[in-house]
Amino acid sequence: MTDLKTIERLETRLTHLIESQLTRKKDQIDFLLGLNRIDDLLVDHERGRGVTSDVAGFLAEYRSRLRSETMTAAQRRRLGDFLSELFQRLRDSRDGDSAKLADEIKEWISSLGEGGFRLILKKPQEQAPLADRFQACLRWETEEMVALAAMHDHLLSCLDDVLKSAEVKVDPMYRHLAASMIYFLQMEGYKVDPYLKRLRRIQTET
Amino acid sequence: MAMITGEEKAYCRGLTALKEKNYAAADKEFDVCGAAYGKSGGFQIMAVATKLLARLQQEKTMILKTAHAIEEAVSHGKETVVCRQGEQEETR
Repeated sequence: MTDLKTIERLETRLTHLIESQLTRKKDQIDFLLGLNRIDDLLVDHERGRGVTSDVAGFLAEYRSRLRSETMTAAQRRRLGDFLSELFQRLRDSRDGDSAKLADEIKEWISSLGEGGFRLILKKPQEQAPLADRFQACLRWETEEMVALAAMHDHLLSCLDDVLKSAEVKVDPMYRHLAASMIYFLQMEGYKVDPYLKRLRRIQTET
Repeated sequence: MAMITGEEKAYCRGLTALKEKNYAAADKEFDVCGAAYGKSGGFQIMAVATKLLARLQQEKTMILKTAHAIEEAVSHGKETVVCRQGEQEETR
């Protein structure tokens, strides 16, 4: 039974290690699992399955968990994009329950703060000078990089994340950031061909 | 069209399995997304700990099964050489 006791001791310690990691990363994990749930709902909806009750379940479970103050700016933006997509699908469904849920989602998107809701039409603005716009773009990219670096250990993983965002978002800033990262990696001697191909494909598709 | 990748989905499934303490399932999912997340120190620790836990639980089950088989053999009054799974059990 000595082996068994040793195994059980080790098991307890490892379980404790994993549980402490799950607790420490709770907000990040909740965020990822929330996105995954929305993604499942979108896929189900696309396949013609009724998702109304699942959306209601999702809102009941995640609305209080994914609060604006526990997320980074990049996370708020990404969640806003996912919720906007879900909102559009529900809005197009035209039944009473879906309309109610769509309203709730719209409220949630608004609570995420500036830049959360992608469907609001903005009135035309006067264009700032090109140099100012470029500086604003660099500031935004710096902010995005800080958020990405907190989630990933390597620049290649950050780049992969940015390319995924560029694939699903209209915002050209993601493409600019991806191009900038690819160029930097190339200067550092990394093989960037697959990433460059992905960016070119995104460029032609959008 | 899915908005997140297969690796991200595997990572999420792995985390869910981990929360449910299903270490064997979590281990399989982390193997799938390892290439995408493997460079993150936090992920590596979690994945290795999960793999080890899955193996330990397997080993524990085997030890308990063996102990149970010995008890059964003794209570039936036969001398039984109990072997590990996959080997043939020999009764004299």
